[in-house]
Amino acid sequence: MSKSMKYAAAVLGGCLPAASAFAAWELNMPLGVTDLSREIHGLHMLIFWICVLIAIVVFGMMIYSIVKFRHSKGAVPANFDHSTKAEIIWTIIPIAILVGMAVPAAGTLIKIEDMRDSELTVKITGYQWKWHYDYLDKNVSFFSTLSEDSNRARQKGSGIDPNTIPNYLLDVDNRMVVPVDTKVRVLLTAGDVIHAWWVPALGMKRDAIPGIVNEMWFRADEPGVYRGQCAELCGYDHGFMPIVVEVVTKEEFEEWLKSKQADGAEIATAANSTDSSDATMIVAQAE
Amino acid sequence: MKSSPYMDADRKRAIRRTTLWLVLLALAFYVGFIVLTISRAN
Amino acid sequence: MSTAHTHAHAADHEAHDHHGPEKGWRRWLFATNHKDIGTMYLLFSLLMFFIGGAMALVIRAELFQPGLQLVDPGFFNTMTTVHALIMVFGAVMPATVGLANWMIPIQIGAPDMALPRMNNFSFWLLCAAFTLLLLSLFVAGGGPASGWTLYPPLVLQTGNALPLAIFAIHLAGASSIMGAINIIVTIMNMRAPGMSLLKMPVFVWTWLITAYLLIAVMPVFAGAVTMLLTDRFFGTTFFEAAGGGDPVMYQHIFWFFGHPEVYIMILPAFGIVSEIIPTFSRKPLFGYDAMVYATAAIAFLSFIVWAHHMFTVGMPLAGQLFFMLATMLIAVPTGVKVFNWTATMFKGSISFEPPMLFAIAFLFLFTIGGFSGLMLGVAPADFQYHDTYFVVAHFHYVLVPGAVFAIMAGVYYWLPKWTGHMYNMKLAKVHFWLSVIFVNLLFFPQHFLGLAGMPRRIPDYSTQFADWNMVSSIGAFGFGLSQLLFVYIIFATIRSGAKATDKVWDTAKPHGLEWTLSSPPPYHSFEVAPEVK
Repeated sequence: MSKSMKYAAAVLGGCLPAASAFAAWELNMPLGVTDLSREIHGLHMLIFWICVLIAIVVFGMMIYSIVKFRHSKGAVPANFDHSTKAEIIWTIIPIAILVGMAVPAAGTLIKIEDMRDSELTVKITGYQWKWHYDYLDKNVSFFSTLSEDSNRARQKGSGIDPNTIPNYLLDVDNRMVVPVDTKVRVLLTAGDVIHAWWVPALGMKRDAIPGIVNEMWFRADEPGVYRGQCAELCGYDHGFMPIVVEVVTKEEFEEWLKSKQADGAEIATAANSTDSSDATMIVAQAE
Repeated sequence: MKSSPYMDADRKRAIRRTTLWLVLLALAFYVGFIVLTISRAN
Repeated sequence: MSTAHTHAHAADHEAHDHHGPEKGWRRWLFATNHKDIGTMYLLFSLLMFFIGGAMALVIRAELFQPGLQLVDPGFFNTMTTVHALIMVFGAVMPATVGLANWMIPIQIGAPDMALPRMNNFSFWLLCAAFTLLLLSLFVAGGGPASGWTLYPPLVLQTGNALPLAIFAIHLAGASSIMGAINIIVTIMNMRAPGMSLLKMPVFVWTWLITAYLLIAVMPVFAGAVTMLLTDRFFGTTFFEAAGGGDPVMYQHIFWFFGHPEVYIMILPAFGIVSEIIPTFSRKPLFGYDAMVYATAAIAFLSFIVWAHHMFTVGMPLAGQLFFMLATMLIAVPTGVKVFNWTATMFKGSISFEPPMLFAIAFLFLFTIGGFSGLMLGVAPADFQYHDTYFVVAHFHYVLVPGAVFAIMAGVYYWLPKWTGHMYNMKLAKVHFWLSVIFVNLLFFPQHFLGLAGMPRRIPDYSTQFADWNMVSSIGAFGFGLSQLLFVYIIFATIRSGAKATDKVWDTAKPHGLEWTLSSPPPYHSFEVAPEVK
């Protein structure tokens, strides 16, 4: 009980709207914060219930047979070995059910692939083991890596209890910030091996592949902080390159953009004057 | 086995023929897919 | 056919003929007898099942709690990779090949396999392959750690383990192809008179189709890893974007192999279950023809659904739609099979010996794996499920309480025939109940973890996943330890036990030629072809 209280506290700290998503003993896919993710959730529940219905019928038949036709109770076996009628029925009905599932699924798929009319484009590049965010035409770009707290605690034999770290392994130093109610187009690629960018609450996952630029989009309708992880095995620290997306109001976003642009200018100046190799690298990457 | 009535000359020939076809089938898939990959690269 | 005649002949034959088994190690090293080779395949598979299982326990021990306690992430990745390679190519496939070696000649009324020396070669090649794979764990740079899918560019970062693993795959692949050729040649040329194709037992049918799948796709996988090898060592750029190649092309080729591979593991399992359910329901298999056609349909569809493993790579919309619809279509022939098995039990007279218990568990739990497979086939939903523990739960449900339970059912079904001894029924039932309880404790919670957002192949996780991971790990250790009982039962039965009758199972209608032979069967199964009506 006290454990789950602790999780609940962590959730509040992360200001996650779908609080149940981070509770212990979670059973189901959490509801997301984009239309598409809710549509996907709806599809997921639709197929799930269809499967449950089929399971009731099929398992019901199996259990009935197991209980009713027992040798130990003196059941006498029948001798039929086929029934064309029955076989046609249980070929046709599944086809009908599948069509019923395929139609809404195709509809959602078409919406997912509609990249038109985006209002903001962010290019995300996966590296071993961090993400790079580049706000195209905004002159803002930065790396995002696992937060210092989590990184210390996750070392083998660190002696730090992961339960004491808020958002253990799901926290970063620099969050990706996007405005609410805005169609954000994401361009995905990678610098070394294949990664995959996934934030469950935004409903989408897509691979970041070196030499290829993939597209996806989302429109978050609730401000908040949403967390995800790399979802394609990318080597030693694959488990340690989380994603944090902060959805803010449009005004807050403009302010954030301005402060980031100022930071960028500062770093550039510092690089010119001090010759620090660190700073030079940042600028090189920012280009 | 050798003296078994199963292994008459006809059956031996049939076995050899089937084996050969299957080996060719496997080779075709091996080479075919490498050629396919090469033809898809720029 | 005349049982008495066959027996008399076999006994006569053994009396003045040196075609019986050789003595000592030469019997095994130079084995050309289908039963000896079958036994070696089965024992090899059992050994690999435990080696791969030990690796799974390393994984589950590390995941017992959040935080890294036991292994570093690199070794964790090696464990997930090698566990998968061993279980797929070293445990499940050789087990079904072992069953095929033992049962196909007997079930079609032949004296042996058509190509006995090649049979010997396939087996020893497989041993060489797994020696290499296990050696790769100890070389500089660590074992292979890129996942069993070996996706470039990540796999190209592997150290000296890469050439070893690739060579191991080549050898294992060559072994499988030779095994498959042998099975097809045997089935096509060695059937007893009167045994037309549509009179063959379903197990033989499923293996015939499986063997064709193997011949079609193992060379494709061999080609893919050959190209990885030249990319890594000989400067080619098949899969390297910088050199004009395409890393996604590898995934297409891999899954063109990988999806039929899934059916290579499960079709023989379907065959075993189709033998067992009629026996213990005391009723003929419902819809034999439909079962055969459904198997063929599944095999055909398996070639046109591969890209459902890669919905997230950024395929064109039309491609995604096609692969989604084709994938959903597989549910139809698979459904026919499940319904036919149920209809076989319906109005039967069912008894619950260990093989039947495992077959019934297969029926329920494989169907659960089928449901999650249907869910994964729906592309938009797959964008959430992909590469999470939901996928892990799905394929373990179809492979462990699916394929592995069917193999265990087959072993419990035919073990008295092989050894001539009955095993301890009570102990086998204990083994069954322990297995079925722990396997669900192990894999069912993984559905929840995946839906809640836990990615697969990670050595450490956020604290909200802690509870179900702990349950799953407990299930894993329970399941692993229960299998020691399986080993005990098998070896105890080989050594001693009540004498098994020729019929073994007291069923109303024995079906299949294996029950007309003595237990254990004569060294050359059918010296004189039985007449099949």
